[in-house]
Amino acid sequence: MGNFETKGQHFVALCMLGMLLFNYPILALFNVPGTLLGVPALYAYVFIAWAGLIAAMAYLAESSS
Amino acid sequence: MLHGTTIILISFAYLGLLFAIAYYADLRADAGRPVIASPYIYSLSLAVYATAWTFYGSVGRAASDGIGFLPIYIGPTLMIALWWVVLRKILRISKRNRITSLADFVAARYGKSALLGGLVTVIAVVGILPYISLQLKAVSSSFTILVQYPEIMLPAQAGAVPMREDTALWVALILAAFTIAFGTRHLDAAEHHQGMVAAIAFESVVKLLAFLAVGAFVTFGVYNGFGDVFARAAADPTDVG
Repeated sequence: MGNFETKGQHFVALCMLGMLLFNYPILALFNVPGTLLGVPALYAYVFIAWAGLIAAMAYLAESSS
Repeated sequence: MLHGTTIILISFAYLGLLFAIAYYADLRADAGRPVIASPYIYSLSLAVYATAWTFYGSVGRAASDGIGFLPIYIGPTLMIALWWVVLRKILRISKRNRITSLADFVAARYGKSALLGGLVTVIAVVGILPYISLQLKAVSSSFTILVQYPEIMLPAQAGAVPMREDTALWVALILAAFTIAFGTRHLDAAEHHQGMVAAIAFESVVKLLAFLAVGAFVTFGVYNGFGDVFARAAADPTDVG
């Protein structure tokens, strides 16, 4: 049961991390003219951060400890 | 040029397919070999929140704001992180108290107040009505656009039609029949509406393909690849994204 609760806390932390990543101060950092492989920095950042968050959630959900 | 009858026939064929999938999934569930036990089917069914209007809303937002269409997808992703804690608790409470609706849930949390339950029901119905009408409007607008093609006629120009020719009314009746047949025949908190979930999961595949088709068409049909889309968007001062 302890594992279950720890996992829950990790999930809540991930949600808060996501809110941080997709909000004003950090989002503004990437709102610059540069591009990554032809994709504007902001778009590249949002999609990469989004994919990273989903990957972290999947890893956490599947992890046994 | 598509005729109204062709579109209606195709729509009914698609609906028939959904009925068949739902029926098959219910059969499998009764036989103890559920199709929706797969995490992939379950995940696909989550896309139920992408409604008929999403195609106009999301594509429209992407066209006018660029990245502004993303929050309605990122928001749910963030909420899913809380499911481990929140959804688990909701399910535990619902199963223990045999709760099948939002109104019952809220009422049960405050001493099984019938008045509160009724109030939640009224608020939910009033709140959801404009949203549902928007979905029906999306379906009937799509019908109008398809029938008028290749002439592009926006639904606002089409003028009023008599009630029995209004596609939205018929769509509403058919959807209600589907929901009654596969969703509300027996209410039980432990029941999973397997047929409904399977049909929704199949629809999600269709939606995914439709969205990818729109994306591919806009990127490579209207414009000349991703670089061109971004270059044109950057060059347009009216673009705020």
